[in-house]
Amino acid sequence: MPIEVKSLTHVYMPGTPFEAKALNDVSLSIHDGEFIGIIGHTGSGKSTLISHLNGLEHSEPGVVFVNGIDLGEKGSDLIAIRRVVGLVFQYPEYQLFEETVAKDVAFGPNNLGLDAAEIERRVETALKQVGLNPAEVSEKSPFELSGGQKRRVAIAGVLAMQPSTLILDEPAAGLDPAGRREMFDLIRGIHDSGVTVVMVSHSMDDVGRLCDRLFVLNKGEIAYSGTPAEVFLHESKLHAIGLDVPEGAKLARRLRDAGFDMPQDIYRTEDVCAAIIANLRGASDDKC
Amino acid sequence: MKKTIIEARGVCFKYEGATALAVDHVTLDIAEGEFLAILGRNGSGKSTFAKLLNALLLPSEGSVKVNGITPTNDDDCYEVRKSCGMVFQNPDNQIVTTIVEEDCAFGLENLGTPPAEIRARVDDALHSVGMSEFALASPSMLSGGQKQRVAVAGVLAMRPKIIVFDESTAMLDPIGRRDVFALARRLNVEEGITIVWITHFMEEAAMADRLVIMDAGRVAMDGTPRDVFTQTEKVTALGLDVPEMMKLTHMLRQEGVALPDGIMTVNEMAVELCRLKSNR
Repeated sequence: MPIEVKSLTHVYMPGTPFEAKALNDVSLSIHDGEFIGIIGHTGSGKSTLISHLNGLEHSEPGVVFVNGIDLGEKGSDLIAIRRVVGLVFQYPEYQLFEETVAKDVAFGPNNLGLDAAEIERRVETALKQVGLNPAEVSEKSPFELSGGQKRRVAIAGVLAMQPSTLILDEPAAGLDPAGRREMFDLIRGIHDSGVTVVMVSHSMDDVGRLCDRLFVLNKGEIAYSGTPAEVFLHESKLHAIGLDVPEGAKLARRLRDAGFDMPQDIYRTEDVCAAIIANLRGASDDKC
Repeated sequence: MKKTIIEARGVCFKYEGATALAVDHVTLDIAEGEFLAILGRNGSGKSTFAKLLNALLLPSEGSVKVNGITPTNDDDCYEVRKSCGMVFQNPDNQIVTTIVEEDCAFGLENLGTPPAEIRARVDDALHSVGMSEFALASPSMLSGGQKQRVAVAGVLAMRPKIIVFDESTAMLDPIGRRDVFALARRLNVEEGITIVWITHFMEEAAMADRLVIMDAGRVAMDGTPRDVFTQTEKVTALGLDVPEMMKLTHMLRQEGVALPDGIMTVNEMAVELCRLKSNR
């Protein structure tokens, strides 16, 4: 089990007038190969939580474990942890700084002290993983690229560390619909290659389409968790904390209330479509 | 017939060193009091067009007349910017002072407005965006949505006739987005301010009076959101999304379900399907 969090509480600026409890008694575990969605609005504690998962925020002993290593334990090798758990921040393209794309992606592996051939191999693999052609972009300045390409380069920089878990904070923020689709396809590809993925998002539609399991955060606590279908059943309560369920789930609920036979666990538009057709055909068969 | 407040005639704009036109012969009339949304993929020319509306950029060809003025010199540009305010994408890039009310007063101070008048207008503007209680707060302690409301207040204090929102909700969370959109809607309905709402979110565009889709610097589609989104395939080909219920309409029709055009909301879809079921 790569990640385990036991009763994590985090208070910012304790003892000052700005004291704020960002996380309150949060427990969760993330298994190998899962695709996890963390959802909640600003101030719900999402960012604080993911910062704990690779030791950017300090935790007490016995609270956060990655691959069995206690991140709060004195002397834990946090650098090794950050190699295993890659974190892609929001708008990661703002972190690009090198002269060329290849140098930027190589920055992490360089610091690992790998030999030149290995670094080159990793840069090439990482760029391919994010759908960029190494021959085309390697020697370009990252600042010549489009916004979407820059973001891919930033993600490649994290992938070049070959993490077993990748955490992405709002990876599609600010992209247009086509850009969002491409970004999600790319993340799905990374997940399919065996990497555990944790994605932070505001969008129930996006996490519903991609994730195996969701954690809904509200005011620093886990309000709901489970498969997307399980979480979306709490439509009115989610709405009360400022989150929406996908349109498909809303329509399914409306039709169920109106006497349609709709399975409990559907929310994808395709599935809702199939259920509607079954209902309409069933109705006409009754008449025949 | 409503008065035209923005008149774009064959407007072109090319960035230095670029080969293609960012805005390519756009002709568009915007009526006073209209709530117009502009959608388009990255690089379609939306933001360039926005900057042409308040004379941050001047067209390389064609003309833009705003509230009766076609800017040619600096004085005209200042006049245009007084009548056409702009709210940008990143709230942190447009807040210049360390106290909320000072930020709102910034534009008026630069115009040499008398202090009493500034006081009244700033109080008014902050009240209008629901930020009065934060007048003396530091912008750094505000959420993204609150910062955008402060930015709107700064624009409102200038008493503009038009406000252009250039992806002003892109960096906000769902609650902040809802708040800022509702604010723009209210200013439009209650104060008659013309709104140009540039966005990537088709849910927002669906709530406008009129929707323009830009592609490769040109106007690709123009109509009511319902009419535009009904052309599901065309909108998708332009790299954009249509409302989920429009997608579902398309899928159900392919299976032979007889649904009418223009279903946009869950409510409308549920009503239609119940009608179909009871008719069978």
